[in-house]
Amino acid sequence: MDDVIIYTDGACSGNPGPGGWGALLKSGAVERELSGGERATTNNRMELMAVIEALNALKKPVRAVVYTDSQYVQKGISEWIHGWKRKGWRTAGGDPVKNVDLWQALDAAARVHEVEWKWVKGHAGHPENERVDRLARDAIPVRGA
Amino acid sequence: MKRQIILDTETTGLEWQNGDRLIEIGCVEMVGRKRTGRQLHRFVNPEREVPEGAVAIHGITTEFLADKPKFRDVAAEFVDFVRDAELVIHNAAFDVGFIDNELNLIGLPLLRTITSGPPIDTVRMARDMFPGKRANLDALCERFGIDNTHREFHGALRDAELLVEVYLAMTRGQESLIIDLEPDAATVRSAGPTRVSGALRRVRASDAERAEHERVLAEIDKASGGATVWRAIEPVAPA
Repeated sequence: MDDVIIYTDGACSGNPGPGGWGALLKSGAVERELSGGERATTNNRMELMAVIEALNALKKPVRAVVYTDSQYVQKGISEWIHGWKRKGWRTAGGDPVKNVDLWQALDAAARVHEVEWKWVKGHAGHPENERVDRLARDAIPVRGA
Repeated sequence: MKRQIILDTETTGLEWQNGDRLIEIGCVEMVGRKRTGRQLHRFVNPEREVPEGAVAIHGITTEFLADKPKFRDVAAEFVDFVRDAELVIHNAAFDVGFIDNELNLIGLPLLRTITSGPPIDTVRMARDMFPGKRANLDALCERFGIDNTHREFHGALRDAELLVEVYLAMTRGQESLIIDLEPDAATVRSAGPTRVSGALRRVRASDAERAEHERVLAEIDKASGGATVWRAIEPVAPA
C-alpha cells in the first residue's frame, strides 16, 4: 500500500504570465493542501513547482503516488530525465533543457522518496484533480494586489 | 445561553473498527455563539504506531506520542469539558465513532449520554446549503472567505478553530443572505445615482425648435378634431 497520494496542478494566465500551483497530500484521513504563485511564470513551471513543493512538504521518506495532469511533468520525470542527465542536461537535439533549475529541484525532491508517477486527464471530473486545479487558480497573483 | 463545543480529532487512520486510535483532540468552547477562550487540546498516546503516510503529512510521530498521556488519563477532563454541551463537528460520525470507541475501551458512557442532544454535523449542513459542492474544511473556508493560509499543520485545535468560523458563517442566516445578494462594488458604482458636481446646465429650446414644436402640436390638434388637451395647459410662458 502507498503511504501518501499526491495530486498536483499548475495554472497560468498568459504564457508567460502570472501563475499558481496547488497540491493535495493525502494519507487515509489525513490531508494537507498547499499552494503558491508567481507573477511571471509559465504553465510548465507551475506544474513542476506543484510537485516539488508537495514532495518537499513531506516530513519523512515515503512511498508516494503523484497524480499530475501534465504530460510534461509525468513524462519528463519518469522518462526524459534519464537521457537529459546522461547528456549533461541537454535534450536529444542538443539544446539546453528548459526549466533545468526546476527539473534538478524535482529530481532532488523525488530522490528521497519512492515515487510512482501517474498522469490523470485534466478537467475530466476527477475530484482531487478539480480540487488542486482550484487551488492553483486561486493562487495566481492578482495584478496590483 | 447554549453552550457548544466545536471539536476535531486526529487519528492513526480511517477506521476504529480496524484498530485505528485517537492521537489528538481539540475542543473550543462557545457560549451564545461567542468564543469563551476556553479550550481543550490534548495529544494522546494511541498505544500503537502511527502509519508512515500520516506521519509524513502531519508530522506527529509515534515517538512524539510515546510520552503523551493515554486516553484513559485525559478522559475525565474531556468528559467534563463536553458534558451537557452541544457538539459541533465536521463529519461528526467519524469523530464520534473514534471518541466513543475510546470511551468504550475504558468502560465510560458514550458521547450521546453525556452531551446535550445529537452533534451538529457541519458536513451535512454544508451539503444541504450547497448541494453538489465540496464540503471539506478548506473548501468551506474558501467559500466564506476565512483565512486558512497559515494552516501549516493539520492539527485538531487549529481545525476546530477554523470550524468555529465556518459554523458561525453557515448559521449567520439573514446576514449571510444579504451578503450573498449584495452586488460587488463596481456594479454599485455604475448602477448608482449619477452625481453631478456644480450647477446643472440648462438647455433651452431655440425659437426655431419651439416654432416646430407648435406646428406639430397644431397638426395633431387638427387631426384629432380638437380633442387634445394641451392647449388648456399650454399657456405656460417659456421662461
